[in-house]
Amino acid sequence: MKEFLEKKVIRNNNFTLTLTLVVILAAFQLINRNYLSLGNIRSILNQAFVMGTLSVGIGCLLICGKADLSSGSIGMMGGLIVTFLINWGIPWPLAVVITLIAGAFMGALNAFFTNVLNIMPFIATLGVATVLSGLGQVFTNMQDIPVNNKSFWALGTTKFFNLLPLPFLITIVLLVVYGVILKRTRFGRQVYMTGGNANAARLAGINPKMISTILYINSGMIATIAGILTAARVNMGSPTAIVSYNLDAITVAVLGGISFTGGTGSMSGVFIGILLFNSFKNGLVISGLDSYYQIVASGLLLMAALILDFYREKSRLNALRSHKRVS
Amino acid sequence: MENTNRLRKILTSKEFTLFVTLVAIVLLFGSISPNGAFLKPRNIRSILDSMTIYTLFAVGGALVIISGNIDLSPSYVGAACGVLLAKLLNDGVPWYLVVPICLLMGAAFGVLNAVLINEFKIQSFIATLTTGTFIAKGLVYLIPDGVTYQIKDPVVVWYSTGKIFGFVPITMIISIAIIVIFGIVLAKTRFGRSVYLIGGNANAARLAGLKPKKLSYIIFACSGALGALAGMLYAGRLKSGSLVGTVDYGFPAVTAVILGGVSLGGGTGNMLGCFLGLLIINGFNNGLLVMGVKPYWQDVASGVLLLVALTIDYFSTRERKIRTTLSSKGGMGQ
Repeated sequence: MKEFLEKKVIRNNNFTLTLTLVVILAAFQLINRNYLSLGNIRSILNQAFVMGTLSVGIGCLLICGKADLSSGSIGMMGGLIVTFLINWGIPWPLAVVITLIAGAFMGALNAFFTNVLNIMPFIATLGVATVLSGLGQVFTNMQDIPVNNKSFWALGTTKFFNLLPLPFLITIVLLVVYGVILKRTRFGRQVYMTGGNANAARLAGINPKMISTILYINSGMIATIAGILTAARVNMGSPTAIVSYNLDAITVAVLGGISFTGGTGSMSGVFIGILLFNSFKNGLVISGLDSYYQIVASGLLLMAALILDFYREKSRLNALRSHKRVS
Repeated sequence: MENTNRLRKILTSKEFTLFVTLVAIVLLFGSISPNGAFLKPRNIRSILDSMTIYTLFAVGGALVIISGNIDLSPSYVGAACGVLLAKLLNDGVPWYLVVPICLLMGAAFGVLNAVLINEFKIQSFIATLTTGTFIAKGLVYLIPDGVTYQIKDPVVVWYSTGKIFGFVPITMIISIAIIVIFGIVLAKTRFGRSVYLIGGNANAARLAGLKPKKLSYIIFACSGALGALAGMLYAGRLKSGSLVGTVDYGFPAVTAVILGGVSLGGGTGNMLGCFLGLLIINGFNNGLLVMGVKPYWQDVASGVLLLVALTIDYFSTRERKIRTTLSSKGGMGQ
């Protein structure tokens, strides 16, 4: 029984997360009866898509043992670029494609600093983020820029069954696609192996730098998707949007069971993490808590996730050790 | 022979490169700024004055980075301590109680960081980012309940805004005193050498009889307290507990530290380099300002400066590594 509990509850992260999610939903529903109403669920999902999308790219990088603090700024730039392009009269599908390519370039910048110059990913991506958010301010003079295009607007505001917004659907699609890539393909296994032990991966014939370069470019592109969707939803490009979601995206990924040391975690965990984080945040709002407490509460949630991560890692190592002893 | 060796050592040192960079910046802005405004005594004072807050964050930051970690929370802790100062003074608590309380709160944040890093093995980057951007930043609003309190206490206003001989601000003297004291502590004391040792190789330090964990607690507490001091001086200068406070000061300070030759891997760097790094960044920003460049460009410039500093750091450590491997190989040959 004890073994069963340990296996199912402590080591199976998704089970714990789902349980926590249910508890949170029930608790806030008791506090406010409108919590699980159609309108509020829609507003939770509408808020969730930005950090959800970012967390796909960031999650892959974390699994590979790298970090990315520039996604938010890349996303912000993506929103601005697509806005500018559309306002210049370029048809929106083409503008979206160009923006994605720009995102790939911005991601490649991260890859250059971390892989070619061997700078710590955290600080390198932070530097890139500062440059980009500064450029965003320079280009716009700190003004929001409206988009003049109805069909582009539909990209951000369409919803299905009066419940599921298109941007969140795109997030789900991305999660599924990357979940499959990570778990079912050769490349995915290489990502896990690089994150688990880059040296061992190299000896096994994998090029860890190549893997992380691909993932940085990928993360840049996904970040611009978040930017494009945000620009479409609020119908403007803003030099301050999305930037702050970067940390939230990391929180969600860690909450979802992606370890900071790399090599573990899954997209299904990230999905539950996204729902958990956003229901928690929304619950705090809807129960009338001061918005300042929300900042602190999010911090406590992240800290709890990190400490949980520590114990999870410890139990994993213990399990490995005891396994070795038996054999 | 002895002399030429020493000269060569000075010429190849990081500090010399920094000094040359600084001179280049001074010459550049000195010659192109309108009417030589850049080199007027008032402007030089304003450069030094604008460095005050950065210097305090940089000293704490350098201490932590040399010991092999990183601390991103002090700027937020400083903001929280600034509003705490204003709130408590406004509640009628005397300044000689308020100042230690604020310093203690800063140190407490440092200890919290050290607990997360040492006991729960969380990477220092994310641990300090969490305590800073969430907990401390939340407290900035929660302590005063969103109200900006004015600071009227004569003593606090005196030491924050007063000038000696009517020209040198007291805060500038405080910050320079702090960087000199920590420079001496790092270079000349047992504690300082231990900081370098645990930054260079924590395991070796443990085997040499040091207690890396205990030292890490002290270092983070220092960093937090310095952040609190910076926040208090900032609030005192504004004569109010600003809700934005020192939040934007932390990152440029870290940039200056890295530019000043403190390597992110830990174990190297000194306070002289940090000071030169601070002068370079603040001189550069001030130069842009004097030239009438839009302030948004400063963000871009500080990011570019950081990336340039990291690139230089990469090439210089690589050179050092190559040199040491070469010399050790030479030794084997003999």
